[in-house]
Amino acid sequence: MKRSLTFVAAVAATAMASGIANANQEVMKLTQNPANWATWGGDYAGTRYSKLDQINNKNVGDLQVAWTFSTGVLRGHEGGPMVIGDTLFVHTPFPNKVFSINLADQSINWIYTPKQDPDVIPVMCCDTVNRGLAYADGKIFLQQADTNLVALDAKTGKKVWSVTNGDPKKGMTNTNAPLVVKDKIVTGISGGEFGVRGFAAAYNIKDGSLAWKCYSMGPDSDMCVDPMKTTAMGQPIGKDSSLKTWKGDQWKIGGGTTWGWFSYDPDLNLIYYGTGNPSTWNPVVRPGDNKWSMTIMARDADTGMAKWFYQMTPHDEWDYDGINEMILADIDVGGSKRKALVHFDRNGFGYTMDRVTGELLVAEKYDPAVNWATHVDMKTGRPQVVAKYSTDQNGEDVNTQNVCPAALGSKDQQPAAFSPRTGLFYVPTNHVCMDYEPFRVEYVAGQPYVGATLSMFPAGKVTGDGSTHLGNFIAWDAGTGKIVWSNAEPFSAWSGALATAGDVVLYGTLEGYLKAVDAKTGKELYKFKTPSGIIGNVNTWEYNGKQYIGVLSGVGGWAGIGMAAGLEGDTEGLGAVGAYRALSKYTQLGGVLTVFALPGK
Amino acid sequence: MKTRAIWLALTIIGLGVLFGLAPARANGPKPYDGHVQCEANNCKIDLWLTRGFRAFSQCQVCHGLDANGSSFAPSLVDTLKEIDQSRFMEVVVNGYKGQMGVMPGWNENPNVMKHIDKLYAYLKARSDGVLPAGKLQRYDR
Repeated sequence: MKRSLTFVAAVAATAMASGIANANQEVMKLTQNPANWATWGGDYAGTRYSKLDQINNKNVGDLQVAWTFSTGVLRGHEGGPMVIGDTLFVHTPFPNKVFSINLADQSINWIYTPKQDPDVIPVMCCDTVNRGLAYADGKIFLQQADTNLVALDAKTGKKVWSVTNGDPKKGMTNTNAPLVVKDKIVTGISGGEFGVRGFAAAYNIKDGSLAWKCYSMGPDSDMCVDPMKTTAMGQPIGKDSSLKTWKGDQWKIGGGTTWGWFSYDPDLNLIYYGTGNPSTWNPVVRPGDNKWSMTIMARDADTGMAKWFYQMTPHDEWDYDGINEMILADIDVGGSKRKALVHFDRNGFGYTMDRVTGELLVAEKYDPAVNWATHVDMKTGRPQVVAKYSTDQNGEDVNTQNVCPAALGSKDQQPAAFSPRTGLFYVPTNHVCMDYEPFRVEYVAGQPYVGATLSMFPAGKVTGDGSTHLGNFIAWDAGTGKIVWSNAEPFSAWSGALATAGDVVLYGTLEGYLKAVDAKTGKELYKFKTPSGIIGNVNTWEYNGKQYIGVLSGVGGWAGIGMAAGLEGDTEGLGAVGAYRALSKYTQLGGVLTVFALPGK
Repeated sequence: MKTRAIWLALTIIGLGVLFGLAPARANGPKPYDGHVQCEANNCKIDLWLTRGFRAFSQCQVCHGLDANGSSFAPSLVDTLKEIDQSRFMEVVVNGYKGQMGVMPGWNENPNVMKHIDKLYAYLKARSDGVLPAGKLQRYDR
């Protein structure tokens, strides 16, 4: 149990008077030093960009494995390692272990193993994943599957406090990485397939007491909105903006869960996140826009009060959860510099918003296969739905065929990266379509509430181009809404990307490759086969003057659920498993952190 | 459990010998009889059995999208070769504390309970190799 000296130094240098109100400043300073990787996105803007350039597009081909670490846990490993000073923190899927690792000799400082009721496992929709940790004020924050949000002493791993964020008996679980903002820690809730009403909540990092909690839907008072001041498409949302868009009290089990990533703009003091699908997957029984499911939300970090909303998929009919990451970047749009928010939605549109006002600037398809809507009307912000792909118009017990994208989305939770050097966004995507048949189900608290059967297959079956690949890794110009380059991947690109000042972009693949490509051209410069499929995020840090790149492998999640669930049969039409059945030829389960560096000192 | 499976197997073989039929056919009426129509190897089902498949969507998270099991729940394709309908009903209604101890009872879930006979029939058809995994075509529409 060696005391971590550099860790203390790194923190002391930034924590200053250790004022908790300055936790924000502390984390900000940690993220400004590229030696650390102190939040899920590397910074509050969620850019997943590092200023480190020791590893660059000239030498990345020489990359080698520096060390590895087994988590001892099977199933899907999402998220990535967090590095502060000389300490690396890494988490696992259920039971959500946390390891503190001394970077000097890769020895384990401490292990935290929560005691969680395994009854929570059947209440998790799509594998028992967890997307990572947060740090501030000498504490590591873990959002456990059983909804307990836990603060651990970063030096000892001892629990400082724990607060219950939801009730698994009612279908609530957690998979998200929380985010520290000022003196609070912001988190969400999972359970969109269990009729959970989504919310974002902020707890005081000092003692875990609740600071604010704002629901995605329901009465105005529950949603932390001001009907006159909170806007959508530039207009006040008005009174009862959510209640009016639901039949009766369906909003009470309406979904709009918040299991994705949180970003923060300290100048505007706004946090940004998205809400998930409305419950159930059968759209016929829930007429209306189902606000504010499927919505980008901008909220005041101190009070939770909503500044603006933008609903991407009103009245969802395909399970296009709006929870993907919000990347905050100042970019050129139509000839002028904008404070933008860029979001690659499950529905296949890449959105560029003005993050100050919520103005819609760009909404274009980032996979040409997307067919459920022709375009987004820039005046109303509404997608123009194609009737033959409308599972609502086709109705219950009817199999709507060849909808693109599949419910997995053109991209799922795997976060993209932004390089200010190229001005481009690097996006891991799915190239998968589906058949979708909604049917009627009854709601019971804590029980699955889905109401559709799906099958998924390569998008090439619909586009007719003869392709069979299931993913692409693309570079995207968010100012114009155009793909700059696109690399086909045999399976969905389901790993969080990293962009660096060395003009390399890194991501993982479901077969288990870590790949490095040139940021400008997309040319593949390096690949290495890690022990299992990668659905984690690639992160980077510097220790003792050397740049390292780390990624969790451990296949699972929704894309790998067939694998995670032990499926290998050659069976058609099995939802995700049908499309991904060949994956078992390439990889097996098992969680390992692989760390890369250039050879030599 | 194991002894029971052996006895069941012996019974099936015994019946097969008795009636001079192939073992798989020897087990008398099937719960899915009248709900499956096959031409060559392509089988279609009716709405009744489709409801069994839909009820199965509640089980897929743990038992796998094709019912072949997962790292914490057994294959139902295999298990239904070993247990009879009354044991199946008992486990679905009350839950089961097996190796992982995570199977909940479904007695309060109408999406399962209203269709438990169809669920059993669907899984039995999967277990007997009559139906492939995944979504099936309907012959009644």
